Amino acid sequence: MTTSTAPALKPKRSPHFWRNTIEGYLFIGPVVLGLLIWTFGPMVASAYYSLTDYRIISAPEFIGFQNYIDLFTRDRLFIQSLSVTVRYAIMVMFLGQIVSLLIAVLLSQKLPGMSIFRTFFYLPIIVPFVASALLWRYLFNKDYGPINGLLTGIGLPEINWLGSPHSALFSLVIMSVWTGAVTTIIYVAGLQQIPEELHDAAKIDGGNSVQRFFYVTIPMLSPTIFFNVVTGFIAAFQFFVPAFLMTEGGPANSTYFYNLNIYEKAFQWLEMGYASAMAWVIFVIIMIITILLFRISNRWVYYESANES
Amino acid sequence: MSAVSQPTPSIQLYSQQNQAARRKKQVGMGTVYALLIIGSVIFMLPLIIMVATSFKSFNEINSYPPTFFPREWLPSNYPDAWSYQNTNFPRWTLNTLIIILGTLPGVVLTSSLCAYGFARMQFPGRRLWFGLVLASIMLPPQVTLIPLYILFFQLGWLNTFWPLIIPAWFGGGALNIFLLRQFYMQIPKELDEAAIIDGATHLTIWWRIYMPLSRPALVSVTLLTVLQIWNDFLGPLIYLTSPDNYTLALGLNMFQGLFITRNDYIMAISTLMVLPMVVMFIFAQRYIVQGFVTSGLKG
Amino acid sequence: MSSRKWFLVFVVLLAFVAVGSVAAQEVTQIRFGTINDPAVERVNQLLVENFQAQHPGVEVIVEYIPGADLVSTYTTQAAAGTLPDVIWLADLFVVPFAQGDIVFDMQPLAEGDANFDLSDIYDNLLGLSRVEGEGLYMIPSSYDVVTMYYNATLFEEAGAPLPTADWTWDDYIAACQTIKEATGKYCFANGGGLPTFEWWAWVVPFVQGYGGSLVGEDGMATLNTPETLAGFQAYVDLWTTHDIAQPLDFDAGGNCFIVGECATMFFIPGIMSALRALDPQPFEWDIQVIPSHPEGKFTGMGTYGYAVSANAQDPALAWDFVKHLASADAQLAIAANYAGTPLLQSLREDPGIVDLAAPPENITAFIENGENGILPTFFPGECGSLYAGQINQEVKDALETAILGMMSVEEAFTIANDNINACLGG
Repeated sequence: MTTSTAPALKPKRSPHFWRNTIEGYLFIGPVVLGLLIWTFGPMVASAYYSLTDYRIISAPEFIGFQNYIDLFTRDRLFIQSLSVTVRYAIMVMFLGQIVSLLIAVLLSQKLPGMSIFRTFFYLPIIVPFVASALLWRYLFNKDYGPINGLLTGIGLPEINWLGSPHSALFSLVIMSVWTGAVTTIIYVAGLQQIPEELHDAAKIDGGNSVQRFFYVTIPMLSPTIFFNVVTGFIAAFQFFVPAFLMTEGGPANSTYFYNLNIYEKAFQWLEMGYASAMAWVIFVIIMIITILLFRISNRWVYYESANES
Repeated sequence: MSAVSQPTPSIQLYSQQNQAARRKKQVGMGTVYALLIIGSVIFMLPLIIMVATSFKSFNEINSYPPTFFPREWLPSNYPDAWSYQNTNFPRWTLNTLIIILGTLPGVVLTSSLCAYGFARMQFPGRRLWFGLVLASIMLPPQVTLIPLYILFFQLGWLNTFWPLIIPAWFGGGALNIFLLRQFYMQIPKELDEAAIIDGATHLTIWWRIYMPLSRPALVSVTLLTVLQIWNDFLGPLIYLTSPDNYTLALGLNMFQGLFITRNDYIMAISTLMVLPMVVMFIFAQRYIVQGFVTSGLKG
Repeated sequence: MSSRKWFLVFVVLLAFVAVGSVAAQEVTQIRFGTINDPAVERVNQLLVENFQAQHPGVEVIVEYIPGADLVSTYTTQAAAGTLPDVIWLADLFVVPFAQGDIVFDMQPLAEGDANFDLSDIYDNLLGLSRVEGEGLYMIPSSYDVVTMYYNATLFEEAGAPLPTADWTWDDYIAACQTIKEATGKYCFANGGGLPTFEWWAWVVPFVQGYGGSLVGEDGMATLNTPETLAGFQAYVDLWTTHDIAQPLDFDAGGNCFIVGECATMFFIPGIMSALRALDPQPFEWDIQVIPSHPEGKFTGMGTYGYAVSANAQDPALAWDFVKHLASADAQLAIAANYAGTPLLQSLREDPGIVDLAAPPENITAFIENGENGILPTFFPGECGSLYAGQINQEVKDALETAILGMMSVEEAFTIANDNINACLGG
């Protein structure tokens, strides 16, 4: 382990400082250019729109911070949609990460036929959107859906999955976990990267499989877990298409996600200025959470080469 | 805790324990397979329904309550869907493949290059730029859609594949950079230090050591990229206007009419669209499974 | 990994794409944005053929708009000024698009065209193409007045009398209750497709049918006057008191009427084509003029059509394309495909519509019902409309809370009224 590259005191510039800098920027050059060309322009534009009354089809008109003021003082759906999104994000983070990790461990067993099983588990995400919205509505249907069929089959009461304001959001959480194969794939790849001999060493030391999981697998996998948690959070905060296709935000606005709110404000109410202000508010919220996650990560994310602060 | 610190078992007990371990292993294998089979059924359910629905008649789809398996299997949905009015699925398949082939090398090469820079090189502004990369995906895309569209319009790229291909060559997406960076930071640093002493440049280290070592991650990036393009709807919808330039995912929406939506055909084409992805997944598994295990790396 | 080979393949493919996209820009052309529907296809072909006969030198480029995401496509194209010359449009876009100068006012073109008789088109229908009675921003495709469809098989099975033209809503409710008791099935299908329970074309006729209105003369909302509340109450009662409307959480897997679970449906003529696409017909059905309210018969309208976008390089040329939609030729083609009923008064008795094969047997009810069609209430200011924006949101939320029994109609609409007026007033 080499920790010597991160000394406590700031060293004098190394003789290779300029060479390193140029070389570094050559490596990250593509993304730097990409951000400058494709991303920052549109972001600045939307930041400007957020200070205007911009109805898309007529020119933006500067109104200062009025959109932000309206957002916090006059929009009753702002809080509702933010609350839906936060509740969804928390549920999907806990359930999604745990289920995906368990499945990934299962799929990483070195047994014959595993590649077929992996494919089976990845399948839900390869269904095109248009089709999957129909399929999930069918699965969740309260009258004839297979899920309720199973529940009544084993003597449990039926659940009005998408039809009740109490369960609709949770139904979408279940669906998201079910289609969480992206997370699973990344966990599987992460598990593959753990050197075999660490497990062997733990086995020789007499650790059982549960202990090996918590003392070897989890720490070694922590960079991957960290990746999935951060990106999972960002994705959860931006989730809305299935809600749009399956529940249209209802019933009683119980699945009215923040980004669905933005979408409707922008493309149905044609209030792009207002929608941009909403987008920047959620941007700041996501950014704060991400920075916190990075700060906390120092305590639990283990890098084989610990040179990252 | 105590088990970990136990001393290695003595030789006399070895054979006894070995038998017990083998029995335990068989039980464990049985459990694993049982869990896998149950899980597979659960996870495959939507797909099974999709395939089943693709064989139902239009009347059966429009009946109540919906059936699970078709009362009457109708394979003719497939040719009918494939040759539906104003569709050109062979062309759209080709278009989708062109976009994938044009995008994939850009994604894999530039995202891993940038990830290496962020994970392994020391230079001022590195953390700032990494923060900006991540921040770029935090703004809800609905509000940058129009400025981006206007940008591509001014570049004269509307109704071409460029807006879908070129940006991928500039870093290959923030998530991919982040993912690969995480993987690269796990690779023991002794490896590149040794290589640097041998006079290797960063470029060589990246290409000779990091690219091969991160194969599971690169294969994952490839899989997810292909999948994303294959099913991408919004990008093609906004940028491609003439039907000759449509992609498969866009073509799927041609069955949504004003009064008549052909869900039978949507399911048939969806099933056809899923097949190559299944093949790709099975094929790619071979490359994911071998990672550090066979690459000969010893801590 | 042979990335060099990949790269070569990529370069070759890109060159191929680039050549393809450059080649198509020389001839004078007109871009035509439309939707891919079997019932509409023949009409599109007619428009293209007719235009090409008149302007052989002009190429028509057809662009299909995938139904699901029409709105974001249009608004994005509008913002960048890349809309096709002729666009497919629905009634809900007329006002915002006209106000934003996205669509062209065709009124002067129509008046100046000796071969075009605007007065032959039903006047109430044209209201959907105008902004507060002014301008002409869309040629509607058909006389799209909301009419009652009924499942004759279900009515007969349950022993309920078949609907007649002089029915009141009380007769309707009585028949529906008979059906509900006999078969357990619902009566009032709440859309199944896009228009759900808050569609203005269902709600507002109830308000007017009880003598209410949504906006007063001072331009402020009047959602909680006794008459207006009575209208809302009668509509909500279909779910609550009478329990004959498809519950909001009853997902029939498709249109409740088409799958045979709802005995009636209130919709525009075009959905005939979807019903007739079922082969064999799963049940017998027909149509009837809508029942009457205390104040008479009122029903909504909802249409799509074609418009000349403000982006059109040559509006007169685009007009030549669009106007053919309102020709006898195109109108009879629409009727022949059961995609609508002719919007020309001169075709009222035409065999092309009157003698169409059943179902529906009573096809002329579409036209008889036409005069009952009302327009969506226009709200001044920037608080949205009955289609979208805050006003739509408030009405929807009030209806939903009342239908679900979370609040009384009076409470729900008083809140909605206050919210709307807070916006309209400030």
